[in-house]
Amino acid sequence: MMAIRTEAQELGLHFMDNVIQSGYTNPGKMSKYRINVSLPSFYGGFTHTGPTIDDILFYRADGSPYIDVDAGLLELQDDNFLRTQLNIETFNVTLRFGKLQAGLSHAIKNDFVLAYPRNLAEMAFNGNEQFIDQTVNVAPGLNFTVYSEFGLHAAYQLTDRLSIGGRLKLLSGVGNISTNLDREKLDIYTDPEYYQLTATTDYQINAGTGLVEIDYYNDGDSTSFNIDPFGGSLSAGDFFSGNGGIGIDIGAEYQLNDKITLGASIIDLGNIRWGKSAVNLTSNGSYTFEGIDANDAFFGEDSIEFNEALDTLATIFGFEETNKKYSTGLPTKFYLSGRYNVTKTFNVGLVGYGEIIRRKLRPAIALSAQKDFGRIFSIGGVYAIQNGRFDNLGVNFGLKLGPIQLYGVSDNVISVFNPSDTKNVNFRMGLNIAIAKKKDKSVE
Amino acid sequence: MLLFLGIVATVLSCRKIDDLSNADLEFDGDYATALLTANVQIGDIVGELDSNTVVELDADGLVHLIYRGKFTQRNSDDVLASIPQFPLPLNDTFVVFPYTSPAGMDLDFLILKTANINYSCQSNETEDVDLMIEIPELTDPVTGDTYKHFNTIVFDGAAPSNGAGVMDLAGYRLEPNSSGDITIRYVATKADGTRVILSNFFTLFQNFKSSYAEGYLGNQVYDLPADTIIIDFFDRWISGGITFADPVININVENSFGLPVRSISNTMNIWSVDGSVIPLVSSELTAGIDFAYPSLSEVGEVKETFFQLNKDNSNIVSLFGTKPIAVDYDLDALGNPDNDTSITGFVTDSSFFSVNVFVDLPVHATSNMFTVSSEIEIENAISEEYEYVDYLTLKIVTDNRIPVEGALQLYFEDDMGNRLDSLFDVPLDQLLPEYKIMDAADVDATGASISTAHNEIEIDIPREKFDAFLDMTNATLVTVLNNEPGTVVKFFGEDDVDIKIGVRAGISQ
Repeated sequence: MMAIRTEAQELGLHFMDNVIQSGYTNPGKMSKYRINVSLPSFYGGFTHTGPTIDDILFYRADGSPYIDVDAGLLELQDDNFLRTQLNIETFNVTLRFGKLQAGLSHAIKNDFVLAYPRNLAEMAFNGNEQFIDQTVNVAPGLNFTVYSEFGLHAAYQLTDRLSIGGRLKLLSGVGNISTNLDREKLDIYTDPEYYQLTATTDYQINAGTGLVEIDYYNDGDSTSFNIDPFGGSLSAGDFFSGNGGIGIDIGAEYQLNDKITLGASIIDLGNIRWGKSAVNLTSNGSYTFEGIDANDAFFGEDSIEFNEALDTLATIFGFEETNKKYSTGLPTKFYLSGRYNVTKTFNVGLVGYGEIIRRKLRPAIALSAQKDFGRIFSIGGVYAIQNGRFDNLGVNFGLKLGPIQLYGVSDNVISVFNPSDTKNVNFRMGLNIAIAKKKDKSVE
Repeated sequence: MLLFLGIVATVLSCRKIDDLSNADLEFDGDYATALLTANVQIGDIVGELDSNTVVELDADGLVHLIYRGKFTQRNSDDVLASIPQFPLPLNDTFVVFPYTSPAGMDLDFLILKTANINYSCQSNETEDVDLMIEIPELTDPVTGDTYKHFNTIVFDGAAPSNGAGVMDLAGYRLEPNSSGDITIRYVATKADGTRVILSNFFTLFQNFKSSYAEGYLGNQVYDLPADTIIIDFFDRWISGGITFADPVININVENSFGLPVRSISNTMNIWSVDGSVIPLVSSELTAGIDFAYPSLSEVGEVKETFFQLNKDNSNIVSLFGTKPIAVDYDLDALGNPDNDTSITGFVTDSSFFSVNVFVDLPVHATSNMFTVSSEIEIENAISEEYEYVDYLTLKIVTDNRIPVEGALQLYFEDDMGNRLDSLFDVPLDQLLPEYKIMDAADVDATGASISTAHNEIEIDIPREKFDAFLDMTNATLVTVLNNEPGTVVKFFGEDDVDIKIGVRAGISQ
């Protein structure tokens, strides 16, 4: 059985056809309401491919807690990452005129990804003796981005069966710090002769705008390196900064027959160009620590200072600072889904999902079931296999009282009750005003 | 019920999140890193053995250990001792006084460096009287003219008239007459040329010093200070031996006295580490060494004589096999050793006789478990961070171009000198070969190193031993050097050893 490691996002939302936000997963979906106005809402998500708290936290006989690092290391993959997302949707207005649907939206998005190889953790906690005479890559990866997104979206019912749509997003980068995926090399080699350490680097850290504060100092004798993602200043103008970008969503929905509807979409195809206050720190070279030169200590007046060795190790990485523009890509996602209407008010669905994170396609698969209780309440569930876990049960609901529509969705509701054993959790909640529901015309 | 269980599960899970921030980290890792490197040359090692050792390289690059004695010198003050002032009344116009050479000497002449004669007299004439004083034995060394002094006794209206003056004789050559006497005569005349006799004529000879003396300078001993050359090389010796193939004692003499000089050896002893005192035996030293001297035509020149006590003319090799710690010597110089009075010599006021003795140990030797120790003071306390270290393993890699193998032992001690533990749990005589730190380089037929010997050793330091290491405030480092039996090797200045030390440490928390 192929192991599927997924970092599923917004699987339940994809099947919430009553909610305009489902168009975020496929802009080709036509809303059931002629007028949709979204009030501010938020989305938050967390994913960690590594160990959970339950995997590493244990208790001694006296009740004192301890972290078992070895147990945590067993849960690591070759490449791991930790991701958090926080999106604030400020507004979304969508109007449907016959076959045409158009709208305007805005959101502030925050995406943080920290990637680390297992070798990094192994070397830090189990030591490098196991890697003697091996070259080991321990380079961590980082991408922290805050950006503002203005969306102009449109969808059109091409035929009775087929609708297509797209969203053009004008992006404005607020802050970014990221490693260059093409320059993410930090190899450590421990020589078997007498354990000389050789670090070979081709490593670049980029940062853009004043939100991120990066402080690097190296005079050859000592070095300091501090990164504060929110250490800089933030003003309204930063949301309309010179760090611009374009994002595109495209999608289509095809009603095969009365029972089956197919959907396909690509979300967040684009990038942001960071030019304002861009900082690049690059380390490129090979550095070998062969031990402290003890000649002066043995036969001179100096003494051996081992702390100096630590300073030497720090300064030998010699980052060079430049101010060149750079680009970061959006995390592009793919949806391929099918829905089967068991009855008019109950349907089941299957979605295949993929997201490109750090140039790797990370797939997901989920089964859904949605039930409408009249026009007022709908509820759904999603069962997903993701991140090596088979206990991801999502729930979504929509409650419509008059024009006010309250919705909430989570792809892993169990994590709410058991956060210490969670590798993946997300949650979206908001209020919409949805008016003038369109009559449902079944395809004959 | 489900909701209740869900709430309980949530509370417990949230508690775990809180505990996570207070939890201790438990891990167990093995880390390896290079620790230090050093390139040690022969001169560095030897320099650490004692501070009295001077390391020099000869033309071939062979290392020599040099131990110097104090520089001793004797000048000409005794020979050219100044004559104390003395009065000499002139009872007549012509006075003779005998000149006596210093004891044992028969001087032909002197050049006066300083000398003056104060005189006073009276004239009973009622007019001015011209005075001329002459010393026939005193001549200008350039013109040969006899020394004459002129003065006038002025008649001041009442007789007798007083006359006085000072005769400066500096620079004049004083050569006693054939009888060995010096004469002073005066001529006092009136204006019409009539000679007169002066009364109360007194002279006072003062500041009589010579800058040059020539003649037979006598057969006498010039005493030179005794001295002791300290050899710290064996101060830290514990056991074993080292045999130098060709140790020497060099005697360097500089002589600017113009007379033959021969050495007198009063004492030449070797003190060994066990307290015994052994005389150095050399027939040539006993007979006396004739030192070079400048001839009459080489006044002002310094002649050098170099004499060496070596394995061919003394028992020095066997003496230095007893692990000497000092060379005790007392040398004097005997002028005109054959008492040949026909030899005309000279001495100036800058003449000197100096002796410089030094021990030279070319490191052409063989060692037999030669073991020395040195004390190390640990100035800084070991950091408490090391309490998480479970074990240490040192890996010592050496590439040695010195033709001697070596081992180390380190004793951990507290501030009272009590031994807490040691790096190796074996006696010193069992350190080699199992705990060898460096292997000996191969040598050619002359004993010179011709290869690089590679050696690796791992030293385990378990937790118990590491605890003693953390507690120590002093340490004794013992070094053992050894050659294959019968192998005599040479140490050259370019011989060196690369030492690389790495460490593997087990750290747990």
